[in-house]
Amino acid sequence: VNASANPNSHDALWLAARGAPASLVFVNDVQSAVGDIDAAMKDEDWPTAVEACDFALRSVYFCRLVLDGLERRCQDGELDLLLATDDDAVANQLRHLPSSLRAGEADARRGRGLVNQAVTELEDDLPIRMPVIRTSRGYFPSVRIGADIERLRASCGLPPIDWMAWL
Amino acid sequence: LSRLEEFDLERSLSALSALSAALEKVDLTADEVVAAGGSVLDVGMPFLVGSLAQGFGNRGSDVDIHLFVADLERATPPFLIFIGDVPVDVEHFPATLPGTLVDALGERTADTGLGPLALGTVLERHARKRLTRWLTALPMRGGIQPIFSPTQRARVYPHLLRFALSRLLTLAAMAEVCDRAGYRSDYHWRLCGRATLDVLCTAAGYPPIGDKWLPSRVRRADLSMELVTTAAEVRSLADVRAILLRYGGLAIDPLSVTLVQRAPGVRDVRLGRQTYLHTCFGRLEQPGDVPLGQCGDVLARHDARAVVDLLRTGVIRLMLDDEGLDRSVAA
Repeated sequence: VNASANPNSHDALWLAARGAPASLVFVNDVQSAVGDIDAAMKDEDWPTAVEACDFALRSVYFCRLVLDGLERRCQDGELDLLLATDDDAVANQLRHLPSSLRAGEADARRGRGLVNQAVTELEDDLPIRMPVIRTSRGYFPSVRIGADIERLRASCGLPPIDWMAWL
Repeated sequence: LSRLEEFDLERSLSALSALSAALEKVDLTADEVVAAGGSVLDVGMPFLVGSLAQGFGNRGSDVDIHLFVADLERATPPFLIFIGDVPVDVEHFPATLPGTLVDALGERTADTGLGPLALGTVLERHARKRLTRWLTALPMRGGIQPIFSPTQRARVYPHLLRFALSRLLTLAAMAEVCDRAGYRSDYHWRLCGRATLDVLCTAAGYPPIGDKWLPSRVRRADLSMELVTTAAEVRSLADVRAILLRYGGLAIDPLSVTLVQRAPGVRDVRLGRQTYLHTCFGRLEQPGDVPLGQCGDVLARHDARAVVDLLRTGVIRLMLDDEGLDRSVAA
């Protein structure tokens, strides 16, 4: 059975239940990690830039878990275990990042390239495009989308998102 | 001025100059922050906290400000304001909260080569974050005493060390389980190397903050190249044990101080005659035999691959055994 003939339509319940928290994780974790990479690179602080690349890839992977049904933040070690044992492409890229301690410019630029690709692919899979929340221009549009999400969840019979639990 | 007052004045002045240096990284001054905050920053005792206050941070860092307010019953939800492109997070807390948090910490410690190590229960992540932030906070104006007294600071540090050690031991046990299950564990052991450096930086007085600052913490803590190399080259449980023994005087087997437990939040679901476990991944699992107990015992009784599968599906978790660690440290 294929009730919808339009391949661009969304499953409303999936979007409200899975897509909404994944979008929240995207703005909180992925966007901020990408900002951290750029800030460290401007300072030519290559070890911190590689660290931020590491965190960005972890965040992309975590966001994909949420999109796939994860219902809460990972606790200590849980995400590490999945990243260490998963065949997933992002996990594999993360495992092959160089050590940050002696990282140089080439390491940071390569890491930034991997993050770009992983973030672009994730954005393509997320049902909601979110503005960069932690900027004066993006904050209120993001908050408005948050309110829209809550209305959609209510219409699908879902409880409000526990926003603080995802921070 | 008495000597004590002189000391306080000196400390207050050096804190203000550290504040200027910290805010300079985001092209701001304390006056600009206070002016932009308006009434939100016009109550109680304001402190800069977080990576900037700890002397880390860069032009992309947020400005995090905590205010301690008399007669406030509970912490307020955070405010977010922007000064140009710089996000400023502001939170208000009851003035009595830091003291209450410290009073709730256990007092028992054990002397180790890494310094006093708290015994009892490991800190919750949330409490650890607050304690670290308040321990390293910079007052935003003159005449404000540090959040914690020297006595309170001395009580907090052993708990931060226990937190860092707990992370290392749990990671090492998990890496060993994966090793025995036949996974390529290079990445897991690399994480153990990082956790080792985290322990050593904490012991050197640089408490944990965001993971991305680890290289900066290592530099600031002035760890020897030999130590950094040793940690970076951790590849086995034996390596972790050797480092703990050599630098901490601690004879600890991570497998004997960690427990395999049912994962928190897993719910039993019955559908007719079938029973399932509803996991945090939103899946219904029928795992059959679920191994529980000390990690070393579980590995002796069960196939490591099956244990990893149950960990991966969120049916069980691996965590520190607080009593086991205390016994190991005492021995």
